[in-house]
Amino acid sequence: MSNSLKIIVSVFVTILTILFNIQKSFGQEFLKNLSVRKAFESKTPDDDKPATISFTGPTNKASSFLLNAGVGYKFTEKSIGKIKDKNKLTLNVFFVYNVNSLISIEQHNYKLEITAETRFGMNPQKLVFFGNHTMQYIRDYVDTNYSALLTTYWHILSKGKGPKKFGGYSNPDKSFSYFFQPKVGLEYQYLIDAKEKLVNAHGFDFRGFQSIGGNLLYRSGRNSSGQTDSRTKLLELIVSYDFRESLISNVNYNKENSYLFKAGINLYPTRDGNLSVGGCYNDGEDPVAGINKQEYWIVALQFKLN
Amino acid sequence: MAKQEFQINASALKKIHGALKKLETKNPKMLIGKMKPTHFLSASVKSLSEVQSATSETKQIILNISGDFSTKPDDLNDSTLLKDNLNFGDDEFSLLQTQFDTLVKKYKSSASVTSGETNKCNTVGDCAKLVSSKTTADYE
Repeated sequence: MSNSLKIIVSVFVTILTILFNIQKSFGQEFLKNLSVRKAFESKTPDDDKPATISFTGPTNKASSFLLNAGVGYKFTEKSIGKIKDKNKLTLNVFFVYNVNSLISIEQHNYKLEITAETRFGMNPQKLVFFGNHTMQYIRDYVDTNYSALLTTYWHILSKGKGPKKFGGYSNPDKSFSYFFQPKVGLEYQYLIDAKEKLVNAHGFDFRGFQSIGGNLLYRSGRNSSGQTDSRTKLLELIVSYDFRESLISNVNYNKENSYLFKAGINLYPTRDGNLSVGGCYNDGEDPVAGINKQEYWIVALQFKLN
Repeated sequence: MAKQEFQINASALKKIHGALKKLETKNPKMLIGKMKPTHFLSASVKSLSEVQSATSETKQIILNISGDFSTKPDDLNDSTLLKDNLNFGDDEFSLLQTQFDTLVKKYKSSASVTSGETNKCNTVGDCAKLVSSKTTADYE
């Protein structure tokens, strides 16, 4: 393990230890506002993924790591706008660390983030707008650069009676359910410093972001009393296509557009949904997550403890 | 002090009220919090229909957010899991908090529900208990 990696892992463990001790001192109120997850830029159902940690250290080969994890704390939450209680603003602070040496071009970065979430509307039978806005400092070890990033992403939630379902599964009493997941956003990345790869080490890239995706779910089971509300996930298909277009830039990236295509399948073999087996095919790049252009598969067994 | 809920019939309640009234007369300085015992009793009591109404409205909110148009509130099991059975995610919990907050204010204007409290709800029954606890007076 390289020294820098040791330092980062130590910092991460130290932060978790400090948070744990603060929680012991300040009680449950602190824990309520604490969250651990993979990413915080957006909170659509596809983004709401658990943190992942993996380490392999063979004796005669290089070690491999997979760590996509972040810890966040929610500072405040309040209603905004003229219509009290309908619109909401939440402010969070996060630290996220990503390292993945299992793919052909490594992912290795850490991010410090301040995130504000806004919501307009409160009736999912009509249309609810969710906005996630972040201000990030990114240290990327693969591209050896330091950058500041401002992002804003918007998605909708709608579960009306018609066929147009957006942002989340509906009809929990039915076997099949689906939803579409369109997202739009803007990203402003300012390169504070970069080495080697970029001719112009300082500058900015202002990008437009669009994403379209869809999820399909098959639910299983009824309980002994025949209640329809006891169905649980059995099989889930997820597809998404993210597209980024550089609108204004003075950095020599040699790339004006980028895309990321993802297609995944998840199987939930137990009734309680605590265990899942999943595979995801990825093709493209994600500059916000520090993933360079490549094509790879991820197969994972995930479980959670209630 | 943890809150406890139990049912009591009208005649028994009247007897308790009468006994407390006598106690107040003998000990005029006796207070529970800053209230006289009889006032405390009145503020703590909810009618059965009021409790049932709040629970039914809680379940209707959950059904609306889950996009379920066929199940009636009374048919929604207390043991139904919000995440695993109804597929609630962050967005749904955000709406749940706002709508519960609006609901409890209807019964008690000073009450509120935070996102931390709704995020701790695993089942429909947990939500019903949360709303019920918020519509009862606090004297801790």
